[in-house]
Amino acid sequence: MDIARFSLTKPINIWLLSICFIIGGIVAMGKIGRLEDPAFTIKQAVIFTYYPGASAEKVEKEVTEQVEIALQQMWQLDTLTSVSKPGFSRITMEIQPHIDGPLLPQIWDELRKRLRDIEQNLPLGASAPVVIDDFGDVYGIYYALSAPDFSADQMREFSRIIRREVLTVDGVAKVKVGGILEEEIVATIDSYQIAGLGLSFPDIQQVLASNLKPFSGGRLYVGDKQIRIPIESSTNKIAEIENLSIVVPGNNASIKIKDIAKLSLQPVAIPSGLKRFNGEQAITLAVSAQNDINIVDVGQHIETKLAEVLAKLPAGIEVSSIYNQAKIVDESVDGFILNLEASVAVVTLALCIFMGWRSGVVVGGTLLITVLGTVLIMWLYDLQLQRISLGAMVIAMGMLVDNAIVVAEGMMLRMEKGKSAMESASFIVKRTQWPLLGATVIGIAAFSGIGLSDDATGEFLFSLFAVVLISLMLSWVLAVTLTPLLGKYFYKVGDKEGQEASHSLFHKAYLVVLRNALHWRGVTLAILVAITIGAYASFGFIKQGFFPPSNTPVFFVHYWGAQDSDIRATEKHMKAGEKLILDTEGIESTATFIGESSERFTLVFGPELPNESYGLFLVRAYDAADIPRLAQEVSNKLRAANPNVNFYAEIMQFGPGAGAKIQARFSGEDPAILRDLAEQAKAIYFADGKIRDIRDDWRDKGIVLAPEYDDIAAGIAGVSRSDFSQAIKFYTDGLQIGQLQDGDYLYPIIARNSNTNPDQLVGLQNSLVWSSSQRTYVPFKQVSGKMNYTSEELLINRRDRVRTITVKAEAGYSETTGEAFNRTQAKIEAITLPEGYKLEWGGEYESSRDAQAALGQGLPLGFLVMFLISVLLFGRARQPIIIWLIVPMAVVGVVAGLLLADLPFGFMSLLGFLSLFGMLIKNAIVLLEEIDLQIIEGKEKDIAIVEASLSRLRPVSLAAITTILGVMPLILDPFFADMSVTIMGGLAFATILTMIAVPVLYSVFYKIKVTKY
Amino acid sequence: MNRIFILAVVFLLQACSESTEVVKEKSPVVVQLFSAQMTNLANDYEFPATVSAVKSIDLKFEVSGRLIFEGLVEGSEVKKGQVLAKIDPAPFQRKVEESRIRHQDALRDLKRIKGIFEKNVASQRDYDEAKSQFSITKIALENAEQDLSYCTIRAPFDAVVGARYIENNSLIRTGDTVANLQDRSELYFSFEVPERIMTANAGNRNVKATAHIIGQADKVFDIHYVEHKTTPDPVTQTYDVTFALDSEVTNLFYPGSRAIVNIKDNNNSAQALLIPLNSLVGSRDDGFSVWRFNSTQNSIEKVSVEVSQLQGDFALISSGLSAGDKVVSAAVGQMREGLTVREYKATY
Repeated sequence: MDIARFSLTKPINIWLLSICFIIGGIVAMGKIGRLEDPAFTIKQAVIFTYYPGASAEKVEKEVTEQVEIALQQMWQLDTLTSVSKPGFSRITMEIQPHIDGPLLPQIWDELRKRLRDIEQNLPLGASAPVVIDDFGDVYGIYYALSAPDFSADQMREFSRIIRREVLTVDGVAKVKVGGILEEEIVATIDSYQIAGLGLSFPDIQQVLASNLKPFSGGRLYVGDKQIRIPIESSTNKIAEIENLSIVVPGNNASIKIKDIAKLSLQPVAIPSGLKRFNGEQAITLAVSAQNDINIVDVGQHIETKLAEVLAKLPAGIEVSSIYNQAKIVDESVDGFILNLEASVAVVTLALCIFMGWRSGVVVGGTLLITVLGTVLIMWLYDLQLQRISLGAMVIAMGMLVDNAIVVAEGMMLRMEKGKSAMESASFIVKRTQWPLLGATVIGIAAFSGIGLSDDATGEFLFSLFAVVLISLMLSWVLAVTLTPLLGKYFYKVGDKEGQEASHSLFHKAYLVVLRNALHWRGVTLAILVAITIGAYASFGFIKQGFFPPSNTPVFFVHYWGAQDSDIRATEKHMKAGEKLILDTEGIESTATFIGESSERFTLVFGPELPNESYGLFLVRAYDAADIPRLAQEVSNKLRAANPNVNFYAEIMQFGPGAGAKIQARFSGEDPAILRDLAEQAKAIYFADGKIRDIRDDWRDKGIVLAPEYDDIAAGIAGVSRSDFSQAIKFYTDGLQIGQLQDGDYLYPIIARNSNTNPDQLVGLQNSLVWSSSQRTYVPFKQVSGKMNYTSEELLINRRDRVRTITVKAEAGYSETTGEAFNRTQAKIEAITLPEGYKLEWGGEYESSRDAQAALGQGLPLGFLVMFLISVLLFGRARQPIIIWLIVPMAVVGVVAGLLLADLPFGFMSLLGFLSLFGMLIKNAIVLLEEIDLQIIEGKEKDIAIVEASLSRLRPVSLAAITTILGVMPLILDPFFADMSVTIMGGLAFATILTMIAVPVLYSVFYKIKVTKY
Repeated sequence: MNRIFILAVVFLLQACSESTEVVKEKSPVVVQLFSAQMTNLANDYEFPATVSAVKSIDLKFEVSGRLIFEGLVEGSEVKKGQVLAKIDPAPFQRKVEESRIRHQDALRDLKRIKGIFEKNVASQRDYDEAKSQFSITKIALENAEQDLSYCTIRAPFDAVVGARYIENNSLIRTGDTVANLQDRSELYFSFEVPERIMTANAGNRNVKATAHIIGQADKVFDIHYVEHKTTPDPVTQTYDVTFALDSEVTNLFYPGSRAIVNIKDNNNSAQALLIPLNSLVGSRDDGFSVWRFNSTQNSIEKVSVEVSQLQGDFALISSGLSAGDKVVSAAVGQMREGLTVREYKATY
């Protein structure tokens, strides 16, 4: 099979292909979907169940347990975590990672069915479980709407209009509105007054219920027509309520509601969550785009739409962006394209310098068309440009040029020797096509472990494998077809027929080194082994990381007050903190979330549960490089200003940032023992000194005030428990006595006591309780004796149905999580666990272990494929063994590079490492093939080794240099920095390995003696 | 070369990591402390009360007739003897006239018969008859005069007109209530006291009581005990207790209005320790503990306490601490056993 001859004789085919790739690639570049992260389903559903009035323990036993049992039976289940709080149960169900996204709706249906079945087993008073299955939706375009001059209901109206309009934009899937100021109608009632009148709450409730519900009118039948008779409802809702009359029982007098109650429209006393932006009350609009769409376009359309809508609304509404995925994607794709251009330029330039401008054009042209072709095929196969596929292209860049360089260089050399283009192309392609193909497949196979693993990592990283596959295969195809063709046009046939190519100084130096190495091969091998062992030994000095920090200039500060603190206290502290943050130099904006987290605005952000004692600052800095310093400064400032609460700064990371980085999970039965274990673990972390932000997830216990309910006295007085609880509600946070529908908003009507004692507790103790059966008021103290004060658990966390307390901590500012973890792991594991208690590690350790386990599953298969190909390629055993002997040595350059650059070895370095394998093996294969071929062609074995090595020197070092230069710009990109260092360091050493170790090993294996001269 | 380089790097790194691992002397954590204080356990009770006057009477006419005068302005003060209402006296005057004439007749008859009788012309029976006729007509005259006087109602004491039930010129029947008069020389506050409080404080008179009208919490008046019922209300099982206003009666209180009575028990000398609510942490079981400062070691230790009551932002501790013990009162969630601490002292 003579591919080169075919392509040179029928150039039109190749030109057609190239033109398709160029035009198609340019078109695809404009149309290809652009996302921040790969479309990835978070296989999680959350089940909420309310059980008002129950303690956390009761909720756990009567609701959480029941629901968990029902879920436990689903085979698709992976992990089940639950939180039981007073009055509220939340269960998070995670589906096995290998189940594909499209199957999920079916699973959620089954989940709902099961929940319906157990509904009747739930205790009286518990709500039906609610399933939230769009938990993983990413609301990547996130706006804050502030209009300080407008009232709450106006803001609400504006946000409704904006939401409606934004929903009409193409590609928008969901718009979530948050932070709407909730309002309620408060009726302040003097309890002694209505007690004097003999009126009760049930009376008032009834009056409101029968007057405020919507009324259906009648209908007339007149002359074959129907005429509707509506009943008009009042326009001023509050006035309507005020003027309702109540008949005083036992009397024919009636009084109006306004005579006994003062009505007012107020923000709810206990809001469920507040949002602020740059110090102003704000409403947030979170937009989620449809899957597989060009988010950049959607972002632009939304901007246009917003501008249109705002033009119609009164001035004074400010819409600011909290997070704009579209912009980030646009920038990162632009950045990538810039990198790509830079790489192509650098490679071409390097080739021009080392091989002359002709080779530069030939190889550079091939490279450009390969990249464009890859983009085209990605577009055709619905692969998007996102973080992972862009990374894959960068990784592939280094390998893309190799094939073309081998072919171009070989062809050029041959043509310089006076051979015709056709002949040289045919010769070099025939000679190298199979080794190159084998090496390319091996390079691809190195990534198969990642791309084809059957779990979440595989789903997330599939595009990496796909892009590597497409681009590398394409680079091989184009190297054997297009490169010869270009070569034909650009290379000149030389006149040095039969002459040995004159050697440059570089070649001569290499020759001396090589001959010496071959001569003293024992020494050479010893040195290589020593270096390798040294490298492995010093691997421990490299910082271990997992995912690098994000280059979005955003960081988080989490606020945690005591678990039993009120949202109003949280609001107070958060407002004070917000001021401090906004006063800090270098900060562009701050979004403040009180009582709940922000939406999941990027895939890797896991929002916290709503919690009254929780708050989140989302701080945007002007410059991403400032973030570590700013994060530390801000959190120190916040802590100094308010030592009573906790502030934890978190720097946004690429990759799943599942909360705290260090997590130790203790599970068992008894909360007291679990807390003891957690205390011991915390003590160890505190003793460490460097580790910061140490806390546990059961948090503080809360105070319970249990008023005694005297059955006997209450029985005589006819006070039921319901009367009792109504009275308590009325005297404390307010009793809901009705609802009022106004437009699309439902106002609760809350009755509160007017002569509230500043001390609510005293007010309660001196209050009156309505006895509904005796229709009279009874003093509270008559039916309740003393108050019992106890402490109770407020959060009971379970994991796979076992109570679990998690101790969380972060590594110090100046170290990686891996370092901190390794320092303390043994100490924590040394804690003696009582029978039936268990310790598990979570956090980064778990996620990286899981990811490595997933890789571990796939990698052996990939390596097997690589090994098999290498054996098949040679049809002999010794050559593959040589290759696989030098592969472990690749680590030397990686270790040296990472140590020098002081970068951690993380997930991206691992990827770089894998691509390094591919490049190293490729070079080795081509060299070995060359040696074999030269021997077959009849050269003396010792001469063949040296000659072959010499002839490979230029392509190998060229490929290395171009790759190193190509990935060099990436050092500045935090996401790719460790990977690029890995490739640069590794490749530099790999080149030496290939050029020295391979011939030496060959000579050892085939027992060929090579003299010094 | 390469090896030497790597070795150098390794040594360099080792040196670096060693130097950074020098254990820093940990500085003590500055904490805010609070001295547990003994405080009197105040037993405060608050009751909704109804205000009533000492005396409250209904004025009624004992005769029937048409009302010709009324001087009853509701809420006005009247002096003793002041005319409040009058029924048209004409029929009663005529009745008096008639009775008087009959009486004079009877008197004349008596005189005449007496003369005849003394001359033994009339019989003893006639004489007796004339005598009783004289007495009967005298009584009839007195009755008529009394009825005439009943036409006018005068204030029986210095009072306030509480309510008026009649209109001028209306016809009044005997027994109709004309008005309500209230004696406001004293004002009573009566309220229902739960059984529990009643039994706990049986016989205890050493209380300080105040009252204020609903909605006017700033105007507080002292009141004192008057009486209490000893049988409870059959439904609510509460006892009716009455207190009276100490001072001069003011215009602020009106009988029937609603007031709030606040009673402080002076007898109760129970004392308890007061610590801030923020210093409490839930203990292993369902109780509480606090972080007590150990001044000799400058460290803190966990001590179990029992909470008996909450008072505003403070908790009353019935056991576990002694007066003067210092407890950590802020950021208790961040404390841990044996932590070295330093007391926070405001320096400015």
